[in-house]
Amino acid sequence: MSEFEKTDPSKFLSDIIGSSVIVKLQNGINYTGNLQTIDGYMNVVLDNAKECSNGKVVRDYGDVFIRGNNVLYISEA
Amino acid sequence: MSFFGFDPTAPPAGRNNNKKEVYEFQETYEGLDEADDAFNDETFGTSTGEIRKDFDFGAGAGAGAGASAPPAAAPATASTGSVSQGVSYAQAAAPTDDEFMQDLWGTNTPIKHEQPIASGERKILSLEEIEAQLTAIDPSAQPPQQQQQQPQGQFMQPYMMPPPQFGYMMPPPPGAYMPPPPPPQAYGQMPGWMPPPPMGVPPQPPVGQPVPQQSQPQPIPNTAGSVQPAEESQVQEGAPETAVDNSVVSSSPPKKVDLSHFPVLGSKEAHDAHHQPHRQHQQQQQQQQQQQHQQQHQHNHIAPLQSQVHPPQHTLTPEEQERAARRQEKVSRIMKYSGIMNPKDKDFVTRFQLSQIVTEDPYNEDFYAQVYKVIHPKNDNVQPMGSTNNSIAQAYLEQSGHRLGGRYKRADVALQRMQQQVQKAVTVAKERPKLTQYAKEGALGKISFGTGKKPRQQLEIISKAAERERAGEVKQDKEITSYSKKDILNILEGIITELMNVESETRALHDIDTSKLWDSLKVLEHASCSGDPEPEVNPFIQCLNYNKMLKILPRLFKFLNREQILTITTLIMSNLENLAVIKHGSYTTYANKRVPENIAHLVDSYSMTFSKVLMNAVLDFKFNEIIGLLVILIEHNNVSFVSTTKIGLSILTTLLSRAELIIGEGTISATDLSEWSSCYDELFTSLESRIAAIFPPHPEDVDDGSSRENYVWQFLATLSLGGKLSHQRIIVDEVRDEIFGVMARAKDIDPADVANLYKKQNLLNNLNMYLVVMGLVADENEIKELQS
Amino acid sequence: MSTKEEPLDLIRFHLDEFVLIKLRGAREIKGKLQGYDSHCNMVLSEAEEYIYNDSNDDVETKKTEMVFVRGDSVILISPI
Repeated sequence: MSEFEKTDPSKFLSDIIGSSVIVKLQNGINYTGNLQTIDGYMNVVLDNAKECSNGKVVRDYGDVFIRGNNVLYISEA
Repeated sequence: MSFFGFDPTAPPAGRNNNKKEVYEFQETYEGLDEADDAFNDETFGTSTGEIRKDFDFGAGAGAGAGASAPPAAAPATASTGSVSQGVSYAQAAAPTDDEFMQDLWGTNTPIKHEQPIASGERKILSLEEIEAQLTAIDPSAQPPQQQQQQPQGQFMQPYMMPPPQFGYMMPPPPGAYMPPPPPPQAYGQMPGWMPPPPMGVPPQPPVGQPVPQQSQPQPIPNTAGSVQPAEESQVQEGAPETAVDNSVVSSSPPKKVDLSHFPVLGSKEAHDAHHQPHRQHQQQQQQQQQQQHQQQHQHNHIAPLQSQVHPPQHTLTPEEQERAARRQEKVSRIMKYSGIMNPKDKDFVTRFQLSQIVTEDPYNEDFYAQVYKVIHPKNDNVQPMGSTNNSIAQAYLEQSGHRLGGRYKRADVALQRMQQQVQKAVTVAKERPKLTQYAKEGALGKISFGTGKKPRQQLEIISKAAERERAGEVKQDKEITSYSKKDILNILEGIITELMNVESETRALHDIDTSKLWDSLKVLEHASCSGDPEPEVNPFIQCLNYNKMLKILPRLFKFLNREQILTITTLIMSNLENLAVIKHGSYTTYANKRVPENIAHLVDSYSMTFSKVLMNAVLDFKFNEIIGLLVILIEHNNVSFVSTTKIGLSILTTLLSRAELIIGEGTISATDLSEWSSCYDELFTSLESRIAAIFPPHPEDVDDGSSRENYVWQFLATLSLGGKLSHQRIIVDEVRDEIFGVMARAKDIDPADVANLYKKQNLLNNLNMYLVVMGLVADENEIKELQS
Repeated sequence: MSTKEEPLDLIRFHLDEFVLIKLRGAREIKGKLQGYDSHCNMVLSEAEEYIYNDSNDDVETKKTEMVFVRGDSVILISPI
């Protein structure tokens, strides 16, 4: 997306659906995977998700639902 | 005296209830500066200054003072306050009408000092009574309630015209014109909740609750008070504005009470009255804090106090005192918070709660409650359970703990009213559009707020799919040929949803549209046959790998017509090996020759659901359809593999046995028969030389001698039944070892082992089910020809 | 008609299926999902709870026939 275009959070979030993202939780753990869906509560579903703690992949998930209240940020990977 | 709803006919007990609150009311009031009450003028039609002068709670000797006295008297708690209360009351009353006072007081209170409280308490109760009164307005209200009101109005009337302080004292909508009371105040309406009623004339009761009374009062002089049954009078006692006309009361003393037993208010106490207002003011805080404490000790204090106050007359026995005190304590504990909410508040809360629980679809949203209702039908349901509304209201009332104790009449009315209210709320809630996210966009961004069912969202995110959908460019034509597990689960949930929709429709309508349900099955969406890669298998077939699909199969098939069922069965026959129970259900694919536990579990589920559904479905099929199904099965699947699975074998058995039954009916044409025999030959050929493989290699695993292995023998019996002699020979040849194996196992079971004897019998029964077809019978030692 | 997917769908799809739930307080629960709501309150049957202690070695395990999990402690949910 063009950086100069005015982007609000919901637009950003709906634009990155389908792409590979990093979701950082408030407890410091990162999840990377394909963003399948996201809703207004920041609930997120990733597929092919990897759980990374301290830079190491700790676990693989096929699909994973992350409850929105735990999400610190979501960024495009 | 009784301006505040003091009802001489009422039993004394009820009176005690609100003593505390009355007291608080009074005190609160005292503490506030009326000069600042901007609405005073508006409310009472007098300047605040005037009003002030008129208020002499304790000492006032005028007629007006007498009337206003009761509330003033209220402040004291049972122990300390009672003295002063009584005094002020008495003093006010004494000059006016001593006799009357005696009657009144004697009647009302067994324990003397509680009287003032009682009168004050009226008020509090009255608030609660408002509800009842409102109910009375209701056309449906019960007659007794209406009767009650008449006396009230009647009593009140004389007071309609008194000086401003009367209007001021009017209890019912107190919050409206009173300065914001402290929380505990009984009548405490939320400050600012209602604007002060615009009133030009002081005596006029405030708008709102009191209205009913006003409209009703038809003075029925003396009779009313005395005639009323106790119950009613009790209700009345609680009524908000019940005002008792002194003269009326005095002229018609309550009949029930024997005055001689009760103390008469002494004039002595009157002296204390002067101090009361000030004291109250000072002590307000303190007393409030002490209330609890005092209550606890009331019991102890009562006796001495009583004797102090009314030495000569007092004749209460200790038991009576104790009982009264205990009751009083209990009541005051209960009443501590009574009146915090007025009926309107309660209405509001009730409606709000109801709006959250009301649902259009009780079956889906409250499934277990529905089930519970079916399992435990209410036998005491007097009310016809006509509508859902009704039942919701009923349930609510049953659960709401609405207090019925002692005041049946009132409670009944209240219940009725509640029920109507609930019904109304339900109706309104149903009419209201579905709960959605409420959102308001403003300068600071989007604000949204949630409800119980839909929590607050932080952002509204529109997915691309939804956008596309909105833009109308849904790509339906693009054939999906591969399904992820998620797709399948999605479809499955869709089926369940549709099924539930259809089921709930059937409860309401007779004519139901099942086309959406059929579409959701996606039977025709993507053709596939055995051996296709799993993601490309027809979604319906894939759904059959999930337990939840199996669970709904029987319910599902109820809504499918014969053609649809035939279509599904055909699809299944061509995809047998795509079913997990077949694909993974053969011992032959496992090194240890055992089917893994999770598959075995699924197999069990199939036996419970799928096999039964199929059995029923096959009953409807015609002969050539059965042949067609078998042909498809043979064409698309490796029959010998299928036969090594329990489900595969039982499907074969089902089809074969149905065909045999139809043949047995003897109405089959020669062409059909020849078609059948060629079909059978084909089947047999694919099985030949592998028949023994249908026996699981670990019979002791699957067959403890109970009937778990009988599906194999059933199949053999059916197969032999349809075959010619040559077929039967081949079969016997191939399973000879199994036959003798079973006989050996049967023989191994010690006849003395009674606990396991049934196993021996089962083994032989299974075996004989097959052997009988060929005219043989076996025991554990030998096979004989059937005697017959 | 169900084109619009939302995250909670993943949970819905796994009704009657086994899921793994990661909870606050270093806990996990595996169980068959019997029900859930929008707060991620969940009911699991045949559940097994794993409590991890600081030393990652010892894991406490609890089995429960049926358990209600309050949504606010849920971190993530994943099908097994």
